[in-house]
Amino acid sequence: MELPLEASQFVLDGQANPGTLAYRLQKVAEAARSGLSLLDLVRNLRDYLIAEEGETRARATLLLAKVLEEVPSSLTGQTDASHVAAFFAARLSDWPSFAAAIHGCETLLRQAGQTSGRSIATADAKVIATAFTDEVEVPGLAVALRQPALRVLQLLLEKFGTSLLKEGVNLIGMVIAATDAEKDPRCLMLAFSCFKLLGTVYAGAGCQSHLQEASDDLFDFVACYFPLTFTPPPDAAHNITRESMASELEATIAALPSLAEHVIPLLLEKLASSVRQSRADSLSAVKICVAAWGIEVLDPQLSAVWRGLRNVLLSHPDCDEDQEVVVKAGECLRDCVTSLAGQDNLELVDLALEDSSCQSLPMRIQEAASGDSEAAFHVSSAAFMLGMMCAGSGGACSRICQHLVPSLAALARSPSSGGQQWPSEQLNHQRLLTIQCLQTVVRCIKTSPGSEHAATDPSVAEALSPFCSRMLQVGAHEDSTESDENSIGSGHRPTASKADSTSEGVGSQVATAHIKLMSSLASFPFDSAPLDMMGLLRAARQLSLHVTDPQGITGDAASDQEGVSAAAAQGLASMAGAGKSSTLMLAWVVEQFVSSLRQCSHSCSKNGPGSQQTSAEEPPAGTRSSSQQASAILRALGAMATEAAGPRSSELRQLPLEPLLGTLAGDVIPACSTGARSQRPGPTGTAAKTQTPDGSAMVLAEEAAGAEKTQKLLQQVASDLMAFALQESQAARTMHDVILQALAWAAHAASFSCGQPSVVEQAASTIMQAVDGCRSAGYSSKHAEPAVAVAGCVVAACPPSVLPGDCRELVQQLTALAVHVDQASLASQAANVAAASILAKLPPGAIDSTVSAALAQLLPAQPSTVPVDDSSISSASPMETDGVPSPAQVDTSSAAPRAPTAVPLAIQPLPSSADSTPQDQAADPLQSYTPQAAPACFHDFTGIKAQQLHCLGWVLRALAMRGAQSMYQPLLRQYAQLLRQLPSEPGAVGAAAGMLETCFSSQGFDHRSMPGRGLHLTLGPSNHVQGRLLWQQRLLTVVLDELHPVLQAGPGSQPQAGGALWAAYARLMGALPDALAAREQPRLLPFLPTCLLRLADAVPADAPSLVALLNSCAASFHSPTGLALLTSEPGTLISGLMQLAAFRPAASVRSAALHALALLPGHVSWEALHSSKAAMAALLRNALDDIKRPVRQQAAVTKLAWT
Amino acid sequence: MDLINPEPIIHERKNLKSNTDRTTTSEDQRDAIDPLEIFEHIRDITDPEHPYSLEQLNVVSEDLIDISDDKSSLRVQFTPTVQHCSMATLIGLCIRVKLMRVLPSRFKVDILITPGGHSTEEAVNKQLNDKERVAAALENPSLVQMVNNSLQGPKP
Repeated sequence: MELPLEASQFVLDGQANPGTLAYRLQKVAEAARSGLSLLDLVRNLRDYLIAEEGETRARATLLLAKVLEEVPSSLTGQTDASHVAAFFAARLSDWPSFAAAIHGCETLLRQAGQTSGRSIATADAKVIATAFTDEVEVPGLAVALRQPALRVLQLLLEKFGTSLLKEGVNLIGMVIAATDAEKDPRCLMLAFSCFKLLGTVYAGAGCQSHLQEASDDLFDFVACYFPLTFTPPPDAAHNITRESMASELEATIAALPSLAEHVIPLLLEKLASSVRQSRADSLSAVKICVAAWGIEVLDPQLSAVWRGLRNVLLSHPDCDEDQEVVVKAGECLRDCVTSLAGQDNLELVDLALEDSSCQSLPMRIQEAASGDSEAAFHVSSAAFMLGMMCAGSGGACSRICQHLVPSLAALARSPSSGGQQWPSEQLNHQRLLTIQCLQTVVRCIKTSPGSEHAATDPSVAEALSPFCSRMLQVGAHEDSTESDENSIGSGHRPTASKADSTSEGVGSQVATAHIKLMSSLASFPFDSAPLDMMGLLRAARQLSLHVTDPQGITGDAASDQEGVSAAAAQGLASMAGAGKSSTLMLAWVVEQFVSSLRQCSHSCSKNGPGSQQTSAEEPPAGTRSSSQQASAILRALGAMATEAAGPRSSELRQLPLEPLLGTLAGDVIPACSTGARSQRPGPTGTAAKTQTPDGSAMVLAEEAAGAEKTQKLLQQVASDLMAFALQESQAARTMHDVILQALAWAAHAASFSCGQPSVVEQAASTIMQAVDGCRSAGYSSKHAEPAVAVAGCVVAACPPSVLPGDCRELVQQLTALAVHVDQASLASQAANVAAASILAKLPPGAIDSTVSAALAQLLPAQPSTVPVDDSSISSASPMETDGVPSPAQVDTSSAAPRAPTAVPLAIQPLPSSADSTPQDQAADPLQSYTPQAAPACFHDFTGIKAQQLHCLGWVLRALAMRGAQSMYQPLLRQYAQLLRQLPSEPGAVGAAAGMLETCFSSQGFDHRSMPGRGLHLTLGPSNHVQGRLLWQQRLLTVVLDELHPVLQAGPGSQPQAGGALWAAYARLMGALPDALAAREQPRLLPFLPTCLLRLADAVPADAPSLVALLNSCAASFHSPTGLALLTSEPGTLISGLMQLAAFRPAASVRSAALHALALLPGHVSWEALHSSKAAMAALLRNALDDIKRPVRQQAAVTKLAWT
Repeated sequence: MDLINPEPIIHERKNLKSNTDRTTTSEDQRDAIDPLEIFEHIRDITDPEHPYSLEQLNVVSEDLIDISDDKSSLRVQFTPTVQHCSMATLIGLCIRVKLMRVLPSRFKVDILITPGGHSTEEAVNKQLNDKERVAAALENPSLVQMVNNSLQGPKP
């Protein structure tokens, strides 16, 4: 076949661009595909192939290699392949053609075996190998040529290694010579590969002796790179990282077992290096080598390996990096154990157990217990070491458990008898250290990095089983446990052999550590749980004893027992959440708890209900009260229920909740209520609290609430819970807060879910009794809060339909409580929430003068008999008292003078104000404030008064919602008087403003019980229907009526009584709906400029009030009446606005003031503004550079308006 | 009179980030003046020739504003709709006057034409940043009237 012209062009035109060359090559390749054989090509290129010009020869050779690469079929037979191989091999000695020839060799070798009958044979490979050995000095080549050369070597070893070895080719020499002093990362990766292939080839051919003979040379190559130091250049395109190279080097070492005697000392030497990376690399290499070489190769080196690892594991880490190396060493040891265990070899474990570090472990523990810190470190390191080995294999774990656990268990056991009489503290330390040591072992098995298999390895679990059994006997109850196997499930606590330690803190630590250890063992995944079912139950039994034992198992102080029982509860919880087996365990534990609770309640009942425990009856030291016991049990139940809830809620429903709750209701609560001790006083949750301080009973109750069968029970429980709260308060003792909160939430859940009137009625009755009890006990906050909190929860949760009709007495009691618990802000809040909740749900007819009188006590002011009846409200308000007003009423009604009519109110004065008779005060309801006339309590308007006003706000709102004008009018009147009398102190301002804010805020409120006509519907300016609650409008109207005369009298005659009054005014202005604001403009707007001036000085800043006021001001500019009223004294208005425009505490106020100022030029004559222009310019200069963006933007607008 | 650019391309008004997104909650922490704030000031200036805002004509853009609140320096670049726009100086003057009115006096304001945006770019830039020539221009009542008309924003 004729040679295409492009072939000659390819050879002769070496300067052509790559595209042209590729095109020409393609043409030749196409010809080859069309039948032009490689030999034909050789014949046609003969002149070029033997040309004198080296470049021509090189290009012709390259063309051959390229065509061969592109078209392997151009070789027509074995003979052709042999010829071509010989040709390329010969050309390796022709330097100009070397690159092309090495490329051709690589192509031939790569195609070997792929094209049967047309690829080279072993003889041809030998020709190439011989030429490569004789003619090519790889280290002297450039990187670009070394790479193909090393690839050729790699292919020779990979495809013809064994054959060439049999032919007598010295492959080791070839590789060593070719890779000498290699530094290029790409070439090194090829070199590592060649060495690995060497190992494979010689091992496959059974010629390891050759490798052994050349081990020195091979080791020289390996050793000079270990540990590998390589930082890839930032622009490297080869993507070779240090990690990949180090990994390849380790694999190379592992592939050459003959190097073991050299390599292991090297690795151990580097293991002791001060360079952290060296140690890490060595550990990694040791791990790989042990896995690859096996015990046969490593046997002589194993003890050295152990020593090396041991030294690292027992070394003191100086920093976190060192600690990482220690962890890596542990992992290495574990993997070595795993690798050797695969060959049924536990030699490494034996070495460890024979080592002094393990042999001396018990002794070291004793030393550590006496305060030797070095020994303590040794113990913890040895424990980690043993743990990692245990995690390595079941066999290792078993061997270690057999060897060490008996001695450690003896140490962890209760005090030795007949031995050395140690101080008890030291003994306890020893036990603690031992248990912690065992804990470390278990933790390593369960959680050490990379040992996930260990926790689920059945053989490890099997090996741990005797260990677990042993540890279950180690606890404080070991004697009785062993002798009372059959008592499991009986619910009776065996006679405990008390620890004779009197060292309180350490004793509880020992117990806690032991509990954690047992929890750890018991919470293995089910499939591999090292404890069988009986073991689990025994563990659960021990843990539950820690919870229920009234005497405490450690003999420690109650506070320490709390910690122990908490740890036990957590242990039970982790067991509960661990696996399927725990359902049975959970049920059993709950049963035990029920039994314990009964016992607890019976013991409490001995004192009789309602009896007051005296100090002589207090439990002896180290014994928990029944209340504490119940608390611990409830907490444990809660933890278990929480852990087992969620995905396992269906299982939770299967728990014996009925007996539990029945016990709670029937036995525990009454008993506890009499026996509860004041242990942990502190703030408890309020009624409004939404988070669960202790989710225990709530979880149980809510879970149970879902099941119909428990509803009746829950009712009973709720009743009893409240009875409990009542008895607590009657006993004038603070309930244990955990019990209280749990019970409160249980009551909440119960009453919410069952919604039974009987429960709620009982709740109301209970609250009354509780409040009464609190009063008789002296209104201590600590006693009042819990009862009222429970009350608030229950009442707030109950639907209005089930609220008892006659709650007047209840309201009386609650309000009285809120007034009297001066030191109890939380109780006060809780009371007002409860009262407001009830009032909002009561039918209007239920609120009578009795309730009103009680509410009046909230406000310790003089009684007023100046009445305001409904007709006056109708005349001042745009709506009727009991219906939707007609539009005509809205438009035409005016601020007609009120027609006072007496209402039969008998507000009781407080004892503190008794010096002023009702008749005297009635003579001048708006009397000026004088210190002499003021009740004593007015001198201190601090937090508690603020709270009272806050309570009043709630009550007023509730009353207004019910439409009970006759109730809230007198209260509001008194409040208005108060505003005038309040000194302008920050606290007073906050209180007053807070009260009004509460009244008028639009925050959500439960108005489900409101009658349908309680909503006032109007059409807005854009025909949108607007709804406004009538109660809100009623309240606003009455407040306006009461506030207006005070405003008129206040600022002029009482300059000192400004802050609170103006704050109230600002709140009112901000809260007024548009229609009402438009109507009330004549009455209210004249005060606005003064208010602006006065409020700017008020401290602290009441930004929301000011913004509301400024917005009202700006809105008023748009109505002619408002504009006229406001601009009658433009100087005052502008001064007030400018003062607020520089109001530093709040940017929103500055912005709103600037907005109002920007409106002025459009509505006020320039002459009126002119006098303020200079001051305004100065103000705007500063405002344009304000720190807040909205202010700057508003200032820019204002400046444009004023220029 | 023939318009210089009788058919300008009208762009949509952008929805800028709200203040709440950019304002710090602390009352004591300064909200630095940023390009967006400057852009809000000048976006609604009306083109002297068309009843469109500079933003709609893409004459001003947030990206072409560089401001350093700390260093009190501001550089605004604007791009006339055509290279031979004779209103470029007037537009620049409007921007300068607007910024003079709404920014604190501590700022040094540079008004520049976007490089390559005008055939006589250098001359316009020189004129706009010459304090005396700007002051002289603002003494011309008819010119001030035109500027004020532009600053009033587009007619609704």
